[in-house]
Amino acid sequence: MSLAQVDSFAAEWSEALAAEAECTPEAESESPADLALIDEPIGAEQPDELTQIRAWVAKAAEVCESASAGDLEARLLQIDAEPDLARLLHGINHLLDMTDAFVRESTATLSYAAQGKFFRRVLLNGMLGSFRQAATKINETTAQMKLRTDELKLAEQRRAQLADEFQAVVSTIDGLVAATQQISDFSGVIRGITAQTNILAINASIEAARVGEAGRGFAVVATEVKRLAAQTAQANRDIQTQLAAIQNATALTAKSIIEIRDTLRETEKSAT
Amino acid sequence: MPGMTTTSRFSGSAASGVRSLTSGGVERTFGAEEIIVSKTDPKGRITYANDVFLRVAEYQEHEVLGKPHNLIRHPDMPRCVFKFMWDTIQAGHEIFAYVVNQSKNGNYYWVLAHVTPTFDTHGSIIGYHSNRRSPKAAAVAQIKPVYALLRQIEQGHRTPRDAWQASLPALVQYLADRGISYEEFVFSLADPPESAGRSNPAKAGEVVACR
Repeated sequence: MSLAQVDSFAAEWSEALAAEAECTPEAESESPADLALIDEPIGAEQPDELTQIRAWVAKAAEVCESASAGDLEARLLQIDAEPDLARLLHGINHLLDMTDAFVRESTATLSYAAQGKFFRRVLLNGMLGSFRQAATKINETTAQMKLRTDELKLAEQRRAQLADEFQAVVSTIDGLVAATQQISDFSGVIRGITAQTNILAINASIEAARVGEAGRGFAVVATEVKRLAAQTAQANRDIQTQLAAIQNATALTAKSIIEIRDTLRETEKSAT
Repeated sequence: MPGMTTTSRFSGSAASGVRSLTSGGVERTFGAEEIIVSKTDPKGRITYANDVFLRVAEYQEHEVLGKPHNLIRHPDMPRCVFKFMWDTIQAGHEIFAYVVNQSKNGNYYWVLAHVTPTFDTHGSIIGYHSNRRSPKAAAVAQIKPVYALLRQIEQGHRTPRDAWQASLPALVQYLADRGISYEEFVFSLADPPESAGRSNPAKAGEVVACR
């Protein structure tokens, strides 16, 4: 039945009803609203066909209005209208069933995706036309979300690996710091020996002078020893300066690497 | 499908030890694009059944309205599956399950049921809604031995409660053996990985259980 047909049909019936109302005033007591109650099967009191149609139309309007307001629960029950009207009423139920199914499916799928559960997909069976297009789009989107989430997880793993590698570098630098400290300690020992050698050389010079001519050769040796001690002291000071520079550079490097490592670890924590 | 064929416990003994599922009646089917729809009140009494429901279950509308939903319960269905479903929806979550139902005339039909609670604006459950789709034959073939084994465990227990208390641990163990959640398991049957297109890299069973 086309819409135009429905219109003319309704017009005919409303005329007929008006005519009938004039003849039978009791008809008012059987208002469509009373008959629309689901619990009382329509037709129980054998109302005429028009009254029955009006009751069903009123009930259908109620269901459509509540559905438009977002309540998808109402349905038309125990449909006993004439075939064309019954088809319309079943059609309303079917439309509501499809809408209800789509809303429930898409809500559930997106709620799962929000929790990182991407295995949940909208089941496409029974979803036709625009419903299926939208459902397919949702499924594609959650699949993309899964892809991005997996990529993020991989990036996280790489970041964690990098943090571990930086930790290894920190350990190596700690070894370097310890080694330079040892060199510094040895250098201290050398400084002590040089000072002693210098004193020994001075003492040797004094002793050489005391024995006069016989000690002249020894005095030359003592002078050479003193010169060597002075050279060693200078070399040792150079080593100390270089060592200090190495230690400074190492400390700065260690500080930077520890900062990088800690940043990586913080990112890791905030990501999990 | 990985998993189902690997455990002797479920695939072997169940097939030989228990009578085949749905031995009585004739199998009834419905279209791949049809959905069986029903709604119940919070106590599980049917408040709506669509025409596909009535046709497949061989009932008249007035015969189901107000009746408990277990009207169509098939004796071959393990009790623990319903217990699990009921617990899940009462907790406000959705659930999927493969279910064999019994029609009024003693025939049977397999469905992939999706049950969701319906909430009012305050978040209270005011009823339940079930959409049932025609399951893939491969999925039914895989779930049958699992249910057969669960039924075997339940046999000999007098009350439904005793029955599910006995079989539920087996269901939990079955899932634990595979390292997947119940919902992942059901979805892995509904949509085998090999049918996932290139645009969908997600593989069922690959997903790690979520927080």
